Formats: sequence, C-alpha cells, structure tokens
Amino acid sequence: MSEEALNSGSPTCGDSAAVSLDWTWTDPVCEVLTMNTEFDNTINKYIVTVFGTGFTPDDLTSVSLFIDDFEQNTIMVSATQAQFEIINMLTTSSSNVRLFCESGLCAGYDQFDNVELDLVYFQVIPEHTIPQVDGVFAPARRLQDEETFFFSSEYGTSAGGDCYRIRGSFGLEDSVQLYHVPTMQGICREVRQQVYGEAYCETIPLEIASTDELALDVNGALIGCDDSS
Amino acid sequence: MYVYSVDTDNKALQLKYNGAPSGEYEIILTHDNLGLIGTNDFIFEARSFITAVSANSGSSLGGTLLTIDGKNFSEDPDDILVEVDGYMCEIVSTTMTQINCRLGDISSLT
Repeated sequence: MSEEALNSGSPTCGDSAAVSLDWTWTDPVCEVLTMNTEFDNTINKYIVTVFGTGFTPDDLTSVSLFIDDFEQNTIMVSATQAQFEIINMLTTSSSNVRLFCESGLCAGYDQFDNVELDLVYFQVIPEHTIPQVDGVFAPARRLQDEETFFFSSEYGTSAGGDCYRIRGSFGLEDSVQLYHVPTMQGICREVRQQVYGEAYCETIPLEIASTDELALDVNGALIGCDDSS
Repeated sequence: MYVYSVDTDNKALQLKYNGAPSGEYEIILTHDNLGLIGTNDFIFEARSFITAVSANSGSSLGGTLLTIDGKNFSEDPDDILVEVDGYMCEIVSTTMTQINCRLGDISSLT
C-alpha cells in the first residue's frame, strides 16, 4: 500500500450513491517522542504523560491512549503533550499500548509500547460495618443459633468470612492476596476481582488486631503497610 | 418472519422479521391447514442506507475512527462488516442509524 493511495469504494448498502466512499491514506498527523508513567499521590492514580507533536491543544477528544485495548481517561492535551489517567489495565504492566489522534495511530507509538506500574499504594476498606454491642460484635449475616462472633477490631470476625474491599493498581489478571504481617499468612480464602484496581477479599478465620500490619501481594510482590492507607 | 397481526376485515396480515442482509427476498405464504397459498409477487426488499461517512482519509499506520451514518443498520456488531481499502475496520459500536469502527494497526499487517 502506498501513502496517498486512493481507494474508489462503491456502496454496498442500499442506494448510497450520493455519499462519497473514496478513501485517502495520509502520513500520520501526530508523533510520539517520549512517554512516562508516574503516580500522583494526590488522586491515587497513575498518570501517563506523552510528549510528541501534532496534538490538538485543549481538545480532550482529539487524542486517545489505549492500554490492553482499554481506553484511558484523557485529562490534558497541549500541542506537544498529553496526559492520561490510567483507569484500566489487565495487569501491572502492558506492552499493548496505542496512541491515537484524529487521523489514526501516531507515528512512533510502537517505540513506547510498555507501560509498567510500580505499585505504591493500596487501601483496605471493610465492606460491612458491624454495630458494637458491649464489646461483642455480632454480624447478622453470619449469626447462627447459639453462635457469637468476637471481633478483634471494629471490622471483621475471628471466624473469618468477612469481606474487605482492596483498592490498588492491579489489573483483572493480576494475582492478589492480602497478607497478615505478624503471622505472614494470606488472609483471603477467596479474592474476587471484577474491575481494574478493586478486589474483594473474603477472610479466613484469624484474629487481627487493629494495630496489626497488613501487606498486599500482587503477583508475588509484597507491598508493605507503610504504603497503605 | 412471523405474523404480528391479522386484519380480517381488510384481509391483511402484518408481518415482522428480525432483520436480514440487504437484498430482495421471495416470500412464500403457507396456511397450517390449506398448505401453500401462493408465492407470486411476494417480494420483500431489505435495504440499509449510508447517508454520510465522517472520515475520508486516515493515517497510513491505521487506527482511524470512522463514523458511518445511515439507516436500517443492525445493532449486532457481528452483523456488520466494514472494510477500508481491503483492511478491516473493527466495529466499536452500532445502532440502527450509526456505525463507529476503528481501523486496525495496518503497519503490523504489511
């Protein structure tokens, strides 16, 4: 195929003869020069900054970044720079990265075909708020005859089965586990992931003090409590 | 096709169908008890129309997003096939009146 090649198409759907279906191939209008990824700890999001040429300033719809075929959120565009907030990836790294402007793929996009995230934060959120009654917590959803559940903190039950929501920068295909640092054991007997950056952990029976450290394991790499919030 | 309504006063049937590729179709009318009623002049024409195509040029690397306006398009992406100069245009969305598709990475194909 040569550039500027012309294709004289013919309509195949009904009487569309008045519509021009000619097609012209052009040189890429935009070009990627460099690309980097940084974590923005004010919004707890990873930001990809692309430096290049041919972008349309202030037009957030004129440039699109796709990672793992997911379109990311465009937050800033200038003539030579575009910024995107990562909102979806399959794992913490990807070699499937494409940058589009209005005319199509940008030249040089394939030279920067790897986006890697070094996980720097995670957040554990209890999904069930348990009412406190004289120091004994009785979750209605698990209460059975003659059975009482004791909690080591305001969240969860030592009998396990509670649900934590874990937020972090992991993808749907990442392996995620929450570790109890004092005993160095995984506390999730089941982890469910439905969207990027979010997993649900159903706990094993374990007493966890509110001061105990938790760590997040993503694909075998532990993220310490110091990085959690 | 299935019978949608019957007007006995005017001896008329109203039929519906779930869509078909553009073209002319012969309709055969049968009755459960009487058998074949007839085929003569029962021609049904299914047509889609293109009224506008948004981009008429694109990067030689591919990746151009096309918008095709018209009517009677299928809402099922699997029913839609769009090619540009012999290259597949991947369906992004489709409604009765608009198809959005994006050309693939042509540089990886040549």
